[in-house]
Amino acid sequence: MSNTETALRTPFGDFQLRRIPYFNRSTLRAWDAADEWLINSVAESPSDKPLLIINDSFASLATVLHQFQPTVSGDSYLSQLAIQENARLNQLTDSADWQYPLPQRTQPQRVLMKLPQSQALLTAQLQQLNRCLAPASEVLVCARSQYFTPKVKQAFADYLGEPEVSLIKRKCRQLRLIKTREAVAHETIDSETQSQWRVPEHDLTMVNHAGVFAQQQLDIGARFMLQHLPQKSVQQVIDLGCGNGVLGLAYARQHPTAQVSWVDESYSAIASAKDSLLASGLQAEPKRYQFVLDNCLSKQANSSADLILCNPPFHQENAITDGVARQMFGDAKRVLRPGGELRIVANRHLGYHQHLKRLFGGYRNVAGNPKFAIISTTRKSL
Amino acid sequence: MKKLLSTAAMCLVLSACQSAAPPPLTVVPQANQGVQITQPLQLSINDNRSHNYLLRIEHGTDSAQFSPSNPLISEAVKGYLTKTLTLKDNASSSLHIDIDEAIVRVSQKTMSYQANHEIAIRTTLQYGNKTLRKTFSGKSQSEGAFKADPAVLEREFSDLLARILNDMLNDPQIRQALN
Repeated sequence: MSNTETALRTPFGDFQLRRIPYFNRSTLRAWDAADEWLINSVAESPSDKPLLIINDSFASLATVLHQFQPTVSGDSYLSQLAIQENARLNQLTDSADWQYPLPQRTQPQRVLMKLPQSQALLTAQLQQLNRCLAPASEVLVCARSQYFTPKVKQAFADYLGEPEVSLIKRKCRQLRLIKTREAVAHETIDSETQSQWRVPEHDLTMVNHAGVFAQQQLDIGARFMLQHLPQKSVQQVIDLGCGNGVLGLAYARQHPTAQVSWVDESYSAIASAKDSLLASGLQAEPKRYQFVLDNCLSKQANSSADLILCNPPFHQENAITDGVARQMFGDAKRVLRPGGELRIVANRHLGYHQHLKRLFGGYRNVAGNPKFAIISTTRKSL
Repeated sequence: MKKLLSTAAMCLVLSACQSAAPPPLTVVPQANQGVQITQPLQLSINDNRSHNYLLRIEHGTDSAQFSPSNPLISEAVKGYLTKTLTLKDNASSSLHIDIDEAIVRVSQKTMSYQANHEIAIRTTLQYGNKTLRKTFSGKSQSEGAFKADPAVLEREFSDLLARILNDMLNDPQIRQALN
C-alpha cells in the first residue's frame, strides 16, 4: 500500500499527482512548496498571455495549470511522461504541450521556471530563453532559497533582466523579472555550456552537454569502472543511465563487434553520448549503436541483452532515494538474457549488494576501493 | 547522560554551522497599497553607515560573522519609494534620505538566539524655498530557539524598514509639505 500523498488542493481545483517513475513504497510527493507558490502566483494575477513552464519535473504545474494550455520544456523525458500520466490520472482532455528544445521564437510571454540542479543547464536554458522570449515577457522562478546563489541570480540578470528577489516563504524564494536583455548572438554561447575532454587510456573524446554528470572530467566512479569492464566479448550491450556514455563507448572501443545501446532519461545525456561517439572517431552506425530516451529500460524487449553496464543514480531530483536504482535493477533482470550480466559501480555505503542478491539470487564483488564497489550479478539460466 | 549527549551533539551541529559565512540577507520592504504621493519629487539617497554589512551574528564575545544585504539598503529604500512616490528628475521639490543606521545584531547562543533590528534615517525635504528635516528610527527585537533563521531575520528587518518608510510617508508635516 502506498504512503505517498497524492492529493493537491489549489485555487484551480483538487488534483491527484504522482511522480514518474512511481514507487509504491516511496513517500516522496510529486510537488513541493515552490510548485504551490508558483501556482498561487498564477492564481493571484491571472493573465491570457501564453504560458511556458520549464523544469516541471513531475508535471505538477502542467497538470494544475492545464486550462492555460501551457507549453512545457525541460531536459527530462520522465517529465514528458509525467504530463501524460498525470493528465490521465486527472482525466484531463487538454493536457500541456511538450517541446524540446525550445524553438527559436516562442509565443509564450509568461514563463514559470523551477531551477535545474546544474548551473550549466540553467545557463543553457537561460540562453535559450534569451533567444526565444519576446521582450517584456514575464518570468517567475521558484526554488528552495539556498539554491539562489549570487551566481544563479547573476545568470538571470545576464540573460533576461534584473530580478526582483522575494523574501523566504516555506524555505523557498521567488525571483520575478521582465525580459529586458537583448538576444545574445547564437555562435558565442555554446562554448559556455558544452565541454569536451579526453580519456586517453581508452582513446575517447567525451562531449558533455549542459547538465550531464561529470561536466569537466571523468568522474571517479566511472574511472574505477573503466578499469574493470568485462573482458569477454558479447553481442548486445546496454549502457543504462548512460550520462555522457563513457562506459558504453569504452566497451564499444574494446569490442568492435558489439552492438551497444545508450539509454538515459535526459535529452542532454543522449545528445552527449551521440556526440562523444562521433568525437571519438567511432562510426555512427544505426544498426550497431542506438541512443534511446527511456524510463529505465521500458522500451527494451525481454531477454534481449547480454551485458548491462550501469552507474546508477542515488537521487531523484533533489531527494536522495534508491528507488531509481531499484527500478534499473528490476528492468535489467527482465531485459537480460539468461546468463547475461549486470555490472554496476556504486558508492559502497549504498549497499546495493543485498538488493541484487534478493533480486538475482547472488552477486560477485569484482573490485572495491574505499569509496566505490563494482558488483556483478548474472541472470540465472531458465 | 542522554541529555548530555544530545546537548553535545547540538553543540557540534551549531559550531559546524558557524564555519560558513551567512548568505546576504534579502531586504524587500512591502509597499503599503494605500500610500501614494502624486506630487513630483527628485529622490536621492545616501548610505552613511560606517559598516557595509547588515547582519552581524555574534558568537559569544570573541567571534562574529557578517553578511551584507541584497539588494543594498539604499536600493531597497529606493525600490519601496519608487512604488509610492512620483519621481521625476526635473521636479521642483526634492527628497533626500540619509541612512544613518541599518543593522541586525544577532546574539547566537548554543541553544537560542536573540536578534535586535535597528534602523535610523534622516529625511530632508526641499519644497519651494523651504526645507523640512525629520528623523525616523525604529527598533525591534525577537528571539528563538537554536540557530537564527535567515527567513525570520529578513522578514523582520524588511517589516521594520517598511514600517519606518511608511511612517515617513504618512508624517503629517511631510504630507502637508507635499500637498
